[in-house]
Amino acid sequence: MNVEATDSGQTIYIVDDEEPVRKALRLLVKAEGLDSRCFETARALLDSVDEIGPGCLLLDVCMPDMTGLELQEELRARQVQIPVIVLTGHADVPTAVRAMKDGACDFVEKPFDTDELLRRIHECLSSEKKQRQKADMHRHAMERVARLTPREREVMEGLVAGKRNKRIAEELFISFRTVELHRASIMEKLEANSLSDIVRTALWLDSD
Amino acid sequence: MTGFDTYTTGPDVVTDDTVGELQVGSSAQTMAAGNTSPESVTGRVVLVDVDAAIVSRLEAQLKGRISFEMLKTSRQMLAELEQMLPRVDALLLGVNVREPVRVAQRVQPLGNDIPVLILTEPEHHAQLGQALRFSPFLGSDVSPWPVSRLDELPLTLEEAISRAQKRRSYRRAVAASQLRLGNIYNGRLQVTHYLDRLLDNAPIGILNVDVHGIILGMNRYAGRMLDRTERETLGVSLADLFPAEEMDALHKLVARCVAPSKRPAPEVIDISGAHGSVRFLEVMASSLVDRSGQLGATLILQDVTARVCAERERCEAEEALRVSERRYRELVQTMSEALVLTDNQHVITYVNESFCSMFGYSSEEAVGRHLLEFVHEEDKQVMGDRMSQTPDAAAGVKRYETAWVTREGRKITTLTSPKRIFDPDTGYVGCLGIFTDITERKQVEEREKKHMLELAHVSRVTTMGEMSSQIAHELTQPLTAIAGLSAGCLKLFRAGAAAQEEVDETLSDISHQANRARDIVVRLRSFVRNEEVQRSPIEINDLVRGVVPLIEIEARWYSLPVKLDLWEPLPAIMGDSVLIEQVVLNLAHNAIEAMHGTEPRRRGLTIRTSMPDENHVQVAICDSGPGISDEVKARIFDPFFTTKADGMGMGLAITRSIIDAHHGVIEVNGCNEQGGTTFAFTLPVPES
Repeated sequence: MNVEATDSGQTIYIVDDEEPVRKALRLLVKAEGLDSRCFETARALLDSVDEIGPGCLLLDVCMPDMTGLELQEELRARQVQIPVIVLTGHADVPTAVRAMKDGACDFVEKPFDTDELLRRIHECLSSEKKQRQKADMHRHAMERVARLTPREREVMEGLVAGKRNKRIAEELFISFRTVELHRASIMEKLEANSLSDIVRTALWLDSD
Repeated sequence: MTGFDTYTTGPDVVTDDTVGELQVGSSAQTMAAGNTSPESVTGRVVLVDVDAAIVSRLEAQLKGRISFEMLKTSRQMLAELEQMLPRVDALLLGVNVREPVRVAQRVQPLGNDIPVLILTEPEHHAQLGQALRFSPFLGSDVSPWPVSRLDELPLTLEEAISRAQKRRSYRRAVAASQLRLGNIYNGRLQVTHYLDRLLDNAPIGILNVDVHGIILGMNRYAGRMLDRTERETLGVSLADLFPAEEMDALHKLVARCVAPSKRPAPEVIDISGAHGSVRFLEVMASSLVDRSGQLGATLILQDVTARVCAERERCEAEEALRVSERRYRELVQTMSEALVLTDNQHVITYVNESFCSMFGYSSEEAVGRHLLEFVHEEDKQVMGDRMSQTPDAAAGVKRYETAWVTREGRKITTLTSPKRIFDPDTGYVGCLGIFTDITERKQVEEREKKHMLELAHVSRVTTMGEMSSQIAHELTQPLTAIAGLSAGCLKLFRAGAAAQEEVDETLSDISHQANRARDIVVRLRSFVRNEEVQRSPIEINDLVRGVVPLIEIEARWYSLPVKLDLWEPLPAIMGDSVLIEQVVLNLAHNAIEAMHGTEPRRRGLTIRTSMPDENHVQVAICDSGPGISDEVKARIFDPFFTTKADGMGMGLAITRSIIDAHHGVIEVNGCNEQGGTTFAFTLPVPES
């Protein structure tokens, strides 16, 4: 029970062609206190791809119609950002390697150890959550930086590089005073209280 | 019997009163005897076609002493001569008489004492003389006379007449003396004469021979038997009439009768060689004696050709029968197959040597025992049933494989073709069985069968190996489900959040999944088991339904549908169900593999059962793959032939040997309605 690591917004998406397996996974996830949504085929998931929110995808590689790996590819092509745990029927190293290369965050062999699977799911969820937070910060930073004028942007870069106002004024061929005005404006636009806030925003900016 | 010659040449002459007194002698003598005219009549000459001038000249010179009779042609002369003969002293043939030599020859038998003068042209004289000298049957008193020497003709004629008359008078004197002797036998001659005539017409041959085997006389029938005329045989030795190889027997026969101590037994003489046709004579000899003592023997001949031939045929037939019987007996005794005769209760009445050596019992031990006592335990029931069937004369000979036990307790197998024997009067009398020992062949067959079964087992295990991924996956699913369901349920339960119906449903799901896993394991285990062949009735449709889950393991993997098209109802066939399952699975496995490259939408496997005729059941496995070429088709059942990259090439070879072992047929159609391949095997429905 790692409740604090999850938040209510996360859902486990299950894709498996075998009804008993889907049922088992749903029950397991439910007992763990997580929400789940089941799809019989990869196609069915793609049909409702817009409804996919935060969480993780439990994907059976071995399915008729469209295999798990093909689905993974399709999701990446559609830029659906969701961590994938691949479930394989039997130890099939090439399949696992391909899945990992294609960006799966983990792969679990069937029949799985339930505790192990749950641990992996939680790991995945928390990493997803972190990833999601990181992405939020980045997006936030980008939005705020976007408010800056090109000159303010140049000044900010100087500040982040640890240059003093006088030095920035010399390099940009502007007066010391003008630099100070830009700095105040930057602080306001970036909703920063201190120079360290500006630096942090700039770091989020680069985190992508 | 000494007078055959005379009688046969002319009975008319014999009855002539003028010669009635005669018993022997030539015709010349007869004539002489008839002519009792005195010497004063000096002669009578017959002239044939003689020139009138010559006649008058002769008459002029011989007038009063010799009379002339003139005839126009030689034919006329020959016709009249017989009547005139006693009074004719000479014959003169004219220059124009044709073929004078032949005419002289014709005259000769009538009277060889008549001198014949033939007138010729001088230029032909020498030629005619030459011809006369070399002509047979002519006496010395036939001579040519050239017309150029007519002057001397009357004198020559007179001399000739005188010569003839002297000869005649001499003969007459001899005849007169014989006549005096002959009178004594006069009465006897009459008897002999009639007897001879009787014997001439009797259907037996009579042959008189002297002590040296020289023929003295014979009757007509004997002549006919020997194909000779009496003329040819008189004075001839027996050796000339009978084949040389029979002479010994004949001589003995004659010798025995000549010394008549006991009655001689008849002898059968083969004269086939002398006549070119088969001919047998039975010869009996009796001595021929006259007052003067032993003369020779009378041989009585009887044609026994028909009897001898019949006898000989009977002997030959008997011999042929004996040979044939001996041959059959030898055949039966020495044939490599065992032969058994039983009565209608199946009690053994006869066995041959091969039976004894095959079974180890002596003939005496085997005869009298019931045939069933020799049958091996495993076949007793079948054999007993067969024996109790009502024998049917119309039923043909069938062949059975039967197991027997020898004296040492060894089991032998034979191919038996029992023939029921029916007597036209008494019906079913028993059975003739011929056993061919096929124990070795059977052992080889069994070894081969075992070998095939081992291969089939290897093949099944191999198939399972090839399907291991699919099988693992198949087992993984229920295990995964079980693991997930049970863990989830446990968690809910522990958290106190488990609703009654949810736990209920989950546990039943778990149980369901466990059963599913077990089913797979059971099926696999039965499929790869290696047991003795068990022939039992098989419902083909049930078998197909049973094997479909195994097929679907793979079919699901490649996501292709399996369609069943089953003919209901089908009669049961006999066989080993595991082997037939293997055939279906193997063909389905190949079919699925064949469709790897096929577009997923077009993939489909159909298993169809049908009855092509009332005695056969057919199972067809059709795929929608690319089909196969004729070259591949021709070799597809060959061992180690494969089109797969990692195939061994044994699958279809084994499949075929399994079908063969079930007396079935497997065929392949390289291009079915879907363009794919159809493998169809047909199995016989056992006779009910």
